[in-house]
Amino acid sequence: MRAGVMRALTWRAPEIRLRNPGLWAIGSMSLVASFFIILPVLTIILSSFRVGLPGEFSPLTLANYREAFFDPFTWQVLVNTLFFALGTVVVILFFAVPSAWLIQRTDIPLKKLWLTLLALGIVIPTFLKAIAWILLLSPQIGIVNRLLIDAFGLSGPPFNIYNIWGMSFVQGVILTPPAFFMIAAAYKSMDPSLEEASYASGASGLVTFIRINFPLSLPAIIAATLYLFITAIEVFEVPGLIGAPARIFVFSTLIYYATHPEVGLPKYGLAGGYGMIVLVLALLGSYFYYRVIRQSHKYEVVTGKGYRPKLVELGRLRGLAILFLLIYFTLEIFLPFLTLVWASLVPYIQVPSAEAFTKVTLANYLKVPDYAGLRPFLNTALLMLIAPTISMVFSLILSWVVIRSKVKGRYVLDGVAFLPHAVPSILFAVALSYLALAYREFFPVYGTLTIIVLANSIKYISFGTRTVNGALIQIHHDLEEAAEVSGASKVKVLSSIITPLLGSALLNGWLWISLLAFREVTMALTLSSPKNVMLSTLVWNLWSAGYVPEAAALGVMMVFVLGGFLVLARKLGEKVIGGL
Amino acid sequence: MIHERPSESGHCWRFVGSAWLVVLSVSGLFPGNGNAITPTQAERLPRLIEAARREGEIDFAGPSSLTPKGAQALIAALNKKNGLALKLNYVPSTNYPAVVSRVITEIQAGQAPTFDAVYLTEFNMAKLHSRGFLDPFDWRGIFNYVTRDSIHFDDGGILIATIFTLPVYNTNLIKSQDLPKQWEDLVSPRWKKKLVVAKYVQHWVSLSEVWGEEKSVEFLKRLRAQEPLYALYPEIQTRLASGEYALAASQVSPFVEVARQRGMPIDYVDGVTPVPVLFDMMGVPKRSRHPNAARLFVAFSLTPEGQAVWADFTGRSSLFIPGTPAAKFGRGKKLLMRNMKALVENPERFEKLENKFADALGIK
Repeated sequence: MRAGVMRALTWRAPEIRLRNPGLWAIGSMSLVASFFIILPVLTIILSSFRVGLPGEFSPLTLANYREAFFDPFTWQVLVNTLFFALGTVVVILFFAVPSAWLIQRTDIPLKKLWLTLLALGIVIPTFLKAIAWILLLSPQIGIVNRLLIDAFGLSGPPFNIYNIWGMSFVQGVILTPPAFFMIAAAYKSMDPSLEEASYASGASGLVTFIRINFPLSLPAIIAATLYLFITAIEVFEVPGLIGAPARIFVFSTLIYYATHPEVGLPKYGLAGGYGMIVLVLALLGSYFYYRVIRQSHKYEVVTGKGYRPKLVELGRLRGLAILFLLIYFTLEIFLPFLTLVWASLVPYIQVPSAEAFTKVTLANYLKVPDYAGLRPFLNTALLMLIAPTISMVFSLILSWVVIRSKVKGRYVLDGVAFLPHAVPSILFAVALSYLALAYREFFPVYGTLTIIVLANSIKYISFGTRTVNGALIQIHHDLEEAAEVSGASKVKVLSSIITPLLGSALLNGWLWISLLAFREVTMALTLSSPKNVMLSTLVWNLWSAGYVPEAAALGVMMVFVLGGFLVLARKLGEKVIGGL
Repeated sequence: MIHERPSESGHCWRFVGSAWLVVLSVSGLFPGNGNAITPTQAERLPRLIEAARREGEIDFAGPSSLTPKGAQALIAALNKKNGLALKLNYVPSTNYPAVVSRVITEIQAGQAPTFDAVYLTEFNMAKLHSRGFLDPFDWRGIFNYVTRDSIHFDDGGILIATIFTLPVYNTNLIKSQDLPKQWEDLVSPRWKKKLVVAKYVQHWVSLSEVWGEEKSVEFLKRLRAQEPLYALYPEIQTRLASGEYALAASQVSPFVEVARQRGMPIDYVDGVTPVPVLFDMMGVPKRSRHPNAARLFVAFSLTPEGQAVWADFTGRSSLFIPGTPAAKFGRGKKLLMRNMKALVENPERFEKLENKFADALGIK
């Protein structure tokens, strides 16, 4: 083991010079991706120095920054945001790290079921999950609170969801699956010889996990942590539904209300000012991320020799492990899904009771075809196929340049790839929309499905590159060197060696981006027109109109349809690359 | 101002509207009869219908409560009435200011707006009107059922629905004798931490016409001190129906109507007066791609058939149209109408009031 680590520590990345057409193509694609990422971000930055609506004449001004920075409320919001994001990440790590290890590195049974459940959780719209948690933990009507009060004769409700910790808990549970998939690839491809050496030295499973598995997966865990920390800063639905009504604001809610005011017109410039604060936080996070991946060669574990991870036997701990996963899935899927089913069966949201059961009906399901039509299904299917494909192709290229080349400024390229995630979705969509409007004659995508596909493709490049980076770091250069010695070009190495080895991570990334694009609602709403209605916006609109049972019925149907899609994708994945 | 009839104003825009019709006549959309006599109502309607037929479709931003099904019901009824096969591309609006901002941005960029027809509150419509982005039209010259009460913003906006605003409550949780008797009762300590408050102030702006600005601000500060839960109208419905909260300081009539249709235990707190009445309007933005089809659609919404569809799907109708649910609801009530004349003449004053009240209520 020591020899392997020493070899890794003394290894130097080969220099890649863009001398052949293939590499020029890669370079050009990196630049194209960067252009499409940077342009909207620059538009947002520019808008933060203007007042009024996009396109209205306004001299450059610091008014938005003055309004944002000189208001003590902003700093209170900053504190709220940081606590919310930290709390969310703690919950995520608590569930995601053990889950990833259990499912990828141990002999825990029913792995396919766990993996499908993890992916399935994302198809339940976040705002419906948030409502479910309100029904469960509200001090007034929370079912859990009612049960505990009755069981223990308590004088008041033990739980109150309307605080930072309630928000963090719900958001953390909801964001665990993406973290799982980002970390799982690292665990899956871990070199078994290190674990075997640990066991041979007499270490237990837990000690091996703490001393071997955990440190080896650290880049993936840090990458996931930073990624989801930024995500938690940006997400709107949980803070909007649970925090804002109780006047607990975070930056995402401030930005949302600045762009969707109930009074006056949207203040995109002020939203841009808030967005810059989020951007700075995100860039700070990415700085630490780069420091980690600069040390990435220490963590290479997939070599050309004996790569086939062996599973850890759980033995007597198997029951405990299954219980842990069951608790998580109860929180993430079963409880919210049951609530969703319940909401879809009643004429309006109400707490289950004997009287409420008499009102159960399937009428909401029968209304779905009237509300949906065919177009949103078709648009959503196209989005789910095209956006992740574009995103993953560019992610692979960008990650390869960043991790494998010595091109100057490659870490800047990775920073660029991370930018879309650092910018709040609403602002990103507003900027794209304005650019598409301004350059409608040259690039006619305004109001089309293409602009939503483009927005999602760009937005999730950050997720794609994080996933590929994490997996690419672990593939030893031996393999590329061997191929190059045999006369293979860099492009050939990328397509014939790297891509197949990354198959699992690429497919995971593709699938996940597909599901994220399916669920994404804020950009789709901002970019919507009569011709690009998506299922996510349809559900959101039903919810916004107060048609919660219909939204729930559509949500339940989508869970089943996408459940089928996931099973199909997994079977395909097994055939093509031997599983996800 | 109690039940003041909205009045006509803005001769300049009316002139522009007339001039615009002349331009249309020249362009052949409304061809003149050659002897400079204004075409009669009977002649102009078929021409408008023919122009709409050629346009073929309407892109419409409407309230999300209309739903795609309601939108199709509307266009089907319009097509049946006029022998057309127009297609309605409906986009639900979840935030009216965002729709206004989009239309303004598009027109300022020299582009056709995404929407041929927009459905907005009167405050939001005022923002399009003050920038000159509403296309005026001679509604009464073609549609004899369109009354003066329904025409605003210098012929640019048509009043489609009158929205009543009152406190509402969960009928399972509060006995009628315990209900607030007047607006001021909402700030009683009894309702501390037990209220839902809407994140809108338009109705408080209406009430300030009676109360005065100072009393209104004071009232809203006290309402804020009740530590309420702030919510949008649909969410108020959910929070109340689920029993999480028993009383909402205000709710608009469309949601109460839909709640009743669905059997939710929600009702108005009756007897609180005056009842602020807000105006929901439709208009055709300038540069619209299908203006004639859009006008036909807007005008159709004021017919009894159109009003019936709006009422069925959204709980919205106009009290100025006899026989509608709104007309029945408004009968005998002390209504507080929006002062449209003041809004048209001085929209900035209303915007300032909105901001001031939002600040006092803590929703800004």
